[in-house]
Amino acid sequence: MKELTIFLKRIFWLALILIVVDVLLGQAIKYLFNKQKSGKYFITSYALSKAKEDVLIFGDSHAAEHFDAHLMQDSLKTSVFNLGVAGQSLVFYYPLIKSVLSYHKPKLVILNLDATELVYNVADYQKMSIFLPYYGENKFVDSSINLIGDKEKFLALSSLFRYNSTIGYVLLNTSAKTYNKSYKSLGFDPQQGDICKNKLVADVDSKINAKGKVKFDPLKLKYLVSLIQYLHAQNVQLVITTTPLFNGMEDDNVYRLKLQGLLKANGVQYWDYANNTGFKGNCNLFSDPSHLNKTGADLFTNMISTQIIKSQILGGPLK
Amino acid sequence: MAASCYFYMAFVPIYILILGFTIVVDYFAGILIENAKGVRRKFFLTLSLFANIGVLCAFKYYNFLNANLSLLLSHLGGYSNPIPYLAILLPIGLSFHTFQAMSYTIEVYRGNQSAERNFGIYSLYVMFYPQLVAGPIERPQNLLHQFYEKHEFSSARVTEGLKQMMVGFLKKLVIADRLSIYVDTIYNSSGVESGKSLLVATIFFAFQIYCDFSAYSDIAIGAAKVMGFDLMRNFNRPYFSLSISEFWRRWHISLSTWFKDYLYISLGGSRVKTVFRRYFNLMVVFLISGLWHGANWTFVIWGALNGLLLIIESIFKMPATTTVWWKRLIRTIYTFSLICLTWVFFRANTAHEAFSIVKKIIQFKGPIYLGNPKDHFYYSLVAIIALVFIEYMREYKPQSVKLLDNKNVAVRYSFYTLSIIAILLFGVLDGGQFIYFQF
Repeated sequence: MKELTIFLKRIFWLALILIVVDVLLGQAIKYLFNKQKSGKYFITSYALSKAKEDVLIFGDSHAAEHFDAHLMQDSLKTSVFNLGVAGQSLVFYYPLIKSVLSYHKPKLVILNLDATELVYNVADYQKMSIFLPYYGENKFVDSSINLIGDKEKFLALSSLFRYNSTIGYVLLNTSAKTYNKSYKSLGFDPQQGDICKNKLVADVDSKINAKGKVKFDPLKLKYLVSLIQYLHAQNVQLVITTTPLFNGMEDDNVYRLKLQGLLKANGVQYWDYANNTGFKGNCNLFSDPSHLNKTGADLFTNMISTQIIKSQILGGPLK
Repeated sequence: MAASCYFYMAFVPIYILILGFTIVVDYFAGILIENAKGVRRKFFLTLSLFANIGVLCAFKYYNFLNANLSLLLSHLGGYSNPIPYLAILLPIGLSFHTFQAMSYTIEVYRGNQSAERNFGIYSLYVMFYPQLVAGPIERPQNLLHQFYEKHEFSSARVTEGLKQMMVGFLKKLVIADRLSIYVDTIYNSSGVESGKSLLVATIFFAFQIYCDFSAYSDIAIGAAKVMGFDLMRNFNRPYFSLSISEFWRRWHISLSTWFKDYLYISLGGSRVKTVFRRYFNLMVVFLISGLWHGANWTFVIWGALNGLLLIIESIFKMPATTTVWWKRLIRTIYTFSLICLTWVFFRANTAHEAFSIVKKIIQFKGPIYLGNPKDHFYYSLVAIIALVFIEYMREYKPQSVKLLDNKNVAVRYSFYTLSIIAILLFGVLDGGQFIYFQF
């Protein structure tokens, strides 16, 4: 009994040490985390508390790499910021946009969605781990963390766990010299190179094949409708875009049809460039079959800017 | 016993019946073997082995054998195979507990172990949950008697067990699962990856599989120790081996000794008339060992390669060890490289893919893919360097650096704290499965 008591005391002291170290080291890492000047966490942090621009762009890498915010700013003569984060989906954009709107009302939200955005993909939920460092900061973030899994809300109580797998990334992004995905680029992440020489890469199909079992994500459907309604209620203009693809996208793709139908039913402008002939098959404009390089991105940005001006969606002709 | 049943049924509950079947067969077989005389002893042993191997073949090899039969029939004249495929999920730990059960009946037959008359104790021997799903494969002489002993609480023993479990979790979560991110990315698209990336991925896999499997053993051995049971050591820093034969004395020790004691020696072992017979015995053992790991030709080739390398070592009569440091270094690197070559076949999805990967590695072309984001790659590198350093110190300078066993309580507690910090900050905690669970 005495031995058990001594053992339990040791466990108690170890637990206490761990809790103290967890809190203190967690604070130190948080300080470092907030010093990032580029990267996905910089963009996410900016969106959660500092966005003040009139035009905000959301989406995954197809947003981050295709919308040159500086170019757009010059064309539209208003402030623009690209809040695209690679690898993410509606499951991420929803809490992010709701968070932005809780403190700032932009004039226009451009939400870039893949034509096959509404497909169910379990990885989209695992990627909510991007919000772990922000645990406890707002209700949208916390509810998204719960989508990762049952144990996440308990693990997130650990200050250290919130920064799981981020240290290296944080250290790589504290430099003020990085241009991509920083304040200098207004969030834009330009890519270099083209696919003209690498035929193997050019032939890789970037479409989600809808010939098999169709599986829509009910939560994404709910989020999209909810976002549309919320933005309308807040009098924030919304445009949904789909950026160009090297191989294009089949017209009868079931996910694409669903997206088109949903947007039309909710009265949302959808600018679909997936099969745009100015881009499709033009290897000079793509860094890979679904991502434009800087040249392609600038061309695309100018097209979007022209369309925004023509549609007068920002409230009349620009001065 | 209840915990073991609950643990096993957490996967596919109905499969407890399969485990129950083999337990009942072997329990009675043991008693019948002990009570019988002469050729009847062999008869009951054969029945037991047939039952165990039959269950193993039915669940693990049925579809593989059927697929190969289909291939053969189509080559022989375009015939179709009338035998249907079965949608069978492999019972977890089948290969492990089957071998452990067979070890019992063989030892009873050899007279090295008396038959267990208590059904509950025998059942616990087969389904003792810490080592049920992935070993170590225990011998009845080591484990059975422990269930009769009283296990009182011992702070020192429980602490040792918990420390070993912590080391296991460190290796699994911080190293193995981290490495698997890169390995899976490269190997799942091996057709488009460069030779250099495939080489890096193969080396990463060598450490991934070592950390994954030895971590499970550490957790199993540690958990058993907490409860007062001693399980056998299963890994002994295998990548510091100076030869392939030494590697097989240090890697998955419980399985390699099982094959040596029950198959290799039964075939005659090294005490055969000709050297060719000895090589034949070696090759048979490793081919079956390969097949034990999985129902795929890649595992058979992996086993054959290991057998071949052992035969070549024997032919060239490599000295067992050396004290010259640079010779040790060269032999360690050389042995590790050969083992990595065999791991390509272990990891690849098909034999054709494995050969393509080997060809690309030899061509050594193209850039090394660092991943996106790159930090996962750098975590993996740091993890490997840290592991190699710690294992080097434990292999060659075991007295100079003591962390877990340091007499200074501050050093020990610092290491415990650092380990848990490492798991929280760098561990991959999204529930990756142990590689050897699939066997």
